[in-house]
Amino acid sequence: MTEVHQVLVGAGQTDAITNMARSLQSSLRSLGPSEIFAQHPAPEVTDVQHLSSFPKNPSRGRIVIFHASGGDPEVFKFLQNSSDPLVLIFHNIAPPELFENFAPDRAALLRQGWEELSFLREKIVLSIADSKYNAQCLEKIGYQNIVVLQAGVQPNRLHKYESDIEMTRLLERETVDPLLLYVGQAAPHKRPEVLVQMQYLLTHHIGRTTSLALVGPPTLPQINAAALEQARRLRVPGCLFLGQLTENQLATLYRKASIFITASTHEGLCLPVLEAMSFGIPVIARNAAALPDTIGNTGILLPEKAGPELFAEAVCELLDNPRLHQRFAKQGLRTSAEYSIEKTAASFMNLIKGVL
Amino acid sequence: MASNTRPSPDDEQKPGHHSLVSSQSTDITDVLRHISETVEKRRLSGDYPEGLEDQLDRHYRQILKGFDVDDTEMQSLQGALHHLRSTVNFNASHIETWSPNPLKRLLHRLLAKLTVRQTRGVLLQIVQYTDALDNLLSQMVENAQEATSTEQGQGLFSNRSDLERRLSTALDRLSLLEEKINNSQTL
Repeated sequence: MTEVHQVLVGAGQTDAITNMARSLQSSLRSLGPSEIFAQHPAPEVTDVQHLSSFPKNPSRGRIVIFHASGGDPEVFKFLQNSSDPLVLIFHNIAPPELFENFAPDRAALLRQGWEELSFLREKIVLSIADSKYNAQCLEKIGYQNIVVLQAGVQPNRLHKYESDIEMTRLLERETVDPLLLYVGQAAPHKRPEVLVQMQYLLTHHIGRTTSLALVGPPTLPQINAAALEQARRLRVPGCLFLGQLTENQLATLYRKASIFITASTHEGLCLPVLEAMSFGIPVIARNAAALPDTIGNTGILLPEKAGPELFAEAVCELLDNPRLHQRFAKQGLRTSAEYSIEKTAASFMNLIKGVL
Repeated sequence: MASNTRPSPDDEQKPGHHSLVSSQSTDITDVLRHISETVEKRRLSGDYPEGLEDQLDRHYRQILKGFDVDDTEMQSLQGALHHLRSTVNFNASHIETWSPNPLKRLLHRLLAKLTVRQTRGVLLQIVQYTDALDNLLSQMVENAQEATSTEQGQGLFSNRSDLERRLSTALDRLSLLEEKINNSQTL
């Protein structure tokens, strides 16, 4: 009997990689039993099992899909000892050097993640990368024949969620239009402080009226705490640090936002950008890592080293140039539709059947 | 709970110092050129004081330092020890036998099988050595931690924090002065 199980390092209720695994699970169940296992599932997650409960006895026709996004000694040991054919889906690993000063333990795990990937190379029967950039990263550590496929990516997954009333009220009370939105974890390479500084320039130096909402899990809480503190000290109006949100709350923000903006310097794919595009929101980002591939011609790609001054001016340009805003919005809708799960599921299932 | 910097009456929007018009183009090359040119114009006109971005970045980093606990050095030492331990996973299977050339791959694997006894012997010696090294380093880190928590150690770190706080305050005052100058220019 065919069984295809997925293994993750961590799993969260609204985590992007867990959501991709959930999308794939529904397709994989057409072949037979398919479960998701993680070494660190969040307490509220009920549809992901702990890795220790993975069925011990090897069975014929069983495949393990490993979603690589970081290092973990227990997951590595499990994969190394597994006799099942191993499929890799690579989501990239954050640059460890940027975490060194804030969280040395996390930096060590990220570094370990790259080392583990190198060691696992010979065991992998199929390598999938969810962006060209991720495929290039795998090639650099000796992987070959990498398939680029956005397996499990659902940019329009939030459309089914109704707007959250409380969030709507909060936005009415605390923000003024236009709303600039950032969605991503609080981590050093995401550079949320550049966005706060941009908001400072917009409101204090250029004389614009804008609001900025920053959404995402507090991976390193001091990153957002320091950015918020800077906003307070510089008396920047309209900066909202909203933390991790539910799907309904996030959908509310996407419906309200005029521009999606990120100063991130490292992204393997950047799912929030695709989600923004699916809501017809133009994007402003740096020309770094996978971002140019993901964004294409649906937004403004600033130079890799762009600072708050260029970001602020890009916002002004998009707000004052309705034809450009409209062009990006339309193109974003078209591009995000190309990533739809319906289109990628068939290709993904063919790849898995090839392994069987 | 959301944290925010809620707009207040004091935060009333000021009119733009220079209302620079948008490119009105939909050609991305034109748009990017226009964005760069506008930033340059703002710098030349004094809307953006020289070195503003660097000043803002320094300000943020100064604040960020304050959010780090005072034993950053100890944390990084412990992190380095943790990293060292995480790499101590000696196993013959970690020795690369892969090659893009199938003949070379076969040769590497054959050599690995022929020298398995010697490889294990060397690995055993390395493991014994790293165990001893790990004990020594753990003891050193522990001692260093104790030393930093002594009265003298605390004094050293608190002096540094005081200096950082004073620097942050000075930077805050500079920002306020800059804001006042901008306001007076607008009026």
